[in-house]
Amino acid sequence: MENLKAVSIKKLSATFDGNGKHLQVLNNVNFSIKNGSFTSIIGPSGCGKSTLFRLISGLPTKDSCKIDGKIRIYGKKPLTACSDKDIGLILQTPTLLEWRNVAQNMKLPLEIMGYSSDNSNKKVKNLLKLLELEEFEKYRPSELSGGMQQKVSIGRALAYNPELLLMDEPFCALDEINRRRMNNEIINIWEKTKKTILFITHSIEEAVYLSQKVIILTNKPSTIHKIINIDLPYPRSEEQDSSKYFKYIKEVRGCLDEASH
Amino acid sequence: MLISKRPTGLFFLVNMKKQIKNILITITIIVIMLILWELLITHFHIPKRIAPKPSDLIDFIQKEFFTSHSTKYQTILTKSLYSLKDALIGFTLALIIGSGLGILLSQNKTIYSLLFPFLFLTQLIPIPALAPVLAAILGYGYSTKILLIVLFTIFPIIITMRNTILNIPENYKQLLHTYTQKPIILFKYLILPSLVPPLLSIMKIICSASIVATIITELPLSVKGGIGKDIYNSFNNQIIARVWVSVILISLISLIFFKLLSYLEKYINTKYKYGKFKSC
Amino acid sequence: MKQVIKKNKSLLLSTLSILSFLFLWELALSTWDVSRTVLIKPSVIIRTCIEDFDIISKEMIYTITEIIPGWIIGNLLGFLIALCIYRLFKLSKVLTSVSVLINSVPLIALAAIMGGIMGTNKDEKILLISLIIFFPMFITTLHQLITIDDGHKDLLNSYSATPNEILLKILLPKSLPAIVNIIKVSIITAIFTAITSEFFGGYGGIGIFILSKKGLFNLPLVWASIFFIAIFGTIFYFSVEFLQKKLIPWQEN
Repeated sequence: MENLKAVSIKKLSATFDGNGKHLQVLNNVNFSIKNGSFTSIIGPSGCGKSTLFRLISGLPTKDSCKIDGKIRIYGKKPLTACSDKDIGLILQTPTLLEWRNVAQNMKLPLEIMGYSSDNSNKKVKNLLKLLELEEFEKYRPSELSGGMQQKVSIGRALAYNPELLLMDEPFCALDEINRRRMNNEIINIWEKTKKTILFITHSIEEAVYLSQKVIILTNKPSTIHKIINIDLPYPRSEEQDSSKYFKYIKEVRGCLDEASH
Repeated sequence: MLISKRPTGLFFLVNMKKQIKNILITITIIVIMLILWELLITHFHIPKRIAPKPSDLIDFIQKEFFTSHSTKYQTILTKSLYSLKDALIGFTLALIIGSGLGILLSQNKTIYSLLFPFLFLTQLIPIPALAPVLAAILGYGYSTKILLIVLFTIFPIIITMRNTILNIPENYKQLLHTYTQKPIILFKYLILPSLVPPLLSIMKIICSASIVATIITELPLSVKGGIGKDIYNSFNNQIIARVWVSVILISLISLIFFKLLSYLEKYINTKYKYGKFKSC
Repeated sequence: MKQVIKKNKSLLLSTLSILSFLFLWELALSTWDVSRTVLIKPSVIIRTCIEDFDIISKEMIYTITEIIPGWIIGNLLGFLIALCIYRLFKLSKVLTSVSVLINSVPLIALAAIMGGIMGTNKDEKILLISLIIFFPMFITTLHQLITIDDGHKDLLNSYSATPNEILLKILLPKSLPAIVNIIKVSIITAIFTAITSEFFGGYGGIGIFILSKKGLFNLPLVWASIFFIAIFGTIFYFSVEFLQKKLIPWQEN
C-alpha cells in the first residue's frame, strides 16, 4: 500500500472533437503523486488545468472529449475511486447550499453516502473543531465571508475522510491577507490529517508557499514542462524572507515564462 | 497546434430539417386528434349545445368566410383583429408607461412605498369589478377600455423593471462613476442595456395578458367591434360553433403574437448579446 | 418603538398612503360636491359595506369557495405533475416549451367553452381556475428542476449521488423560492379568473352581483363589492407572503 501512488498519470491525452472543432487540450501528460504529499499544478491561463482536474476527479466531461492514456487513483479508475470515497473535491467557488447552515452543509456528503445520523453529527463536530469553526456552526452561508465559506467547503470535503484532496484554485477569489491566512490553514490541516493534496493554482507564490512539488504545464496542447521540487521546511511563513525561497520563486517564474511560449 | 474549424452551412441546414420534421409530426397528431374527436362525438351522440363536432366547426367556417355577407357584417376575423389592435395599443402604452415608472420608482424607496398599494390594487381588483367604476367616471367609451387594459398589464412591468435596476451590481455603477458624474451617462450605458433582456421576456408574458384584458373589457362595455362581445353574445345565444371557432381564432392570433415576440427576443439576444451581469 | 417603525417602514408608508388617499377623497367630495352619482364618498361606501354586509359577504363567500379550491388544486397538480414528468419521462424540455405556448393563449376565453360543456355551476369555475393556474406552476417547477448549478452538479457527482437524492437534497430546496413566489402570484390570477368567469353565467358570486348592480343608481354597492374583493385579496396575498418569509428565511429581497 505504501508503494501505491496516490495519483498516477501515464501518457494522458485529451482532445475535444466534434461540432466542427478539433482541439487538443492535453498531450502526453505523465506524472505521479506520492501518498501524503502536497503537490501544486501551475500553468498559463486556459492551458487545460480544469480539464486535467475534471479527468482526475472522475467528473463527466463533454461528450466530444476523447481521452487516451491511463489515470489511476490508488490503483483504481477515477470513477471507482470516487465511489470508494477516496476523493474530496474543493472547487473555485464554495458552492454551499444557502438553505443549510454550516453544520448541515458539512453533513451533505455524509447524508448522501448513508452514514448514520449520530455518526455524521460526531464527524461534523470534530471537523468544526479542526477548522476552528465551532462558533459558526449555526450560521448560514450568506452570513459568512468568502474565506469562511471556503473553509466550510474544505470541511465538507473532509467529512467522509477521503485520502486525496483535489483543490481547484480554491482561494483565487480572496484578498492577499485572507489568502495567506487560508494557505496557512490548509498547511495546518494537511499536517494534522496527513492527506494527499493536489492543488491547482495560477499563483506562483502560492505554489511555492504551499507545496513540496510544483508541476508546470505548457500551453495547449499541454504537457509537463518541468517538475520542481521545493525543498523548504514547514511552516513556510518563517522561510518567506530567505534567499532560497526567492530562488524557487524565480525558478518557477522562469519555467512558467518558458512554458507560455 | 490548434486546429479549429468553423461550422459550415450544412450545419444550419440540419437544424432546419429537424424543425420541419417537428412541424409535420405536430400536424399529423392534430389531424388524428380531429378525426378521433369527430368519431367520439358522433358515436356517443353528445348534444350540439355541449360540444360541437369538427364538421360543425368546418361548416361554420365555410359560412362565415366563404359566403358573401351584407356590407355591414363583420366576420370574426375582423373582430379579432380589431381586438388585437386595441390589445396592441394597450400593450405598447403599458410598456412605455410601465418602464418609465419602473425606472423612476427604482430611484426612491419612499415614493415606491407610497405608490405601491395603488399599483397592487390595479392588479387585485378584477376588470369586471373595476370597469363600472371607471366607466362611471370616463364614460363607456374607448378610453376606458384602453385604460383598463393598461391597468391590468402595467404592474408586472413596473416591478420587473424596478427589480432589474435595483439588482445591477454595485461594481458596474462604481466603474461608470469613475468616468463621469452625469446620471444621464449611467442611464445610457448601464441602465438601458440592462433593461433589454427583462423587457423582452416580460413582453412575452404581457402579450397574452393584454389580449385577455381586451376580451374581458369588451364584455361589460358596450364597445362595438370586439371579439369579446361576440363570444359573449354567441355564448348567450348558444351558437356553440361560433364560440369555439372564435376562441380558437383568438388563441391562434395570441400564439402568433407570442411567437413573433420570441423570435424578436432570440434575434436581439444573438445580435446584441445583452447577457446577464456577473457580480464579483 | 422607533425600531419597530424602522423595520416596517415601507409597510407603514403604504398603509399611510392608502389612508390619506381615502381621507383626501372624502374631503374633496365633501368640499366640492361633484355630481354624487358619478363619484361616491368613502363614507358612503363604508356605510353601504356595513348596511349591506350580509348580502355582499354572502356573494363574496360564494366566490371564495370557488377561488380557494381552484387555487389549491391548480398549484398542487402543477407541482406534482411537473415532478412526475421530471422523474419519469425525458420529455421535460419539450413539455416546457409546449406549456409555455399553451400559457400564452387567453385561457380565460375557455370560460365560454367550458360554460357550454359543463354548465355554469361551481365545479366548472373551480376547474377553470385550476386549469389557468396549473400552467404557470407547471412551467416554473419543471424549469427549476431542469436547471442545476454546475458546481452543485460536480459535487453531487463526486459523492455518487442517485437522481432521487439530487432531487431531494438540491433541486427541491433550490426551487422552493420560485415555487412559493408563483403560488403567491397565482392568488391574483385565481381571484381574477373566478370573478371574470362569472360573467359567463353562474349561480352566485360577487362577479354576478356586480354585473347586476352596475346601473348608476347602485354604484355604492359596486364600490362596496370592490372594497370586499380588495380586502380579501390583500389579506390572502399578504398572509402567503408572511408564510413565505417564514418558510424561506434564506431568501434575500
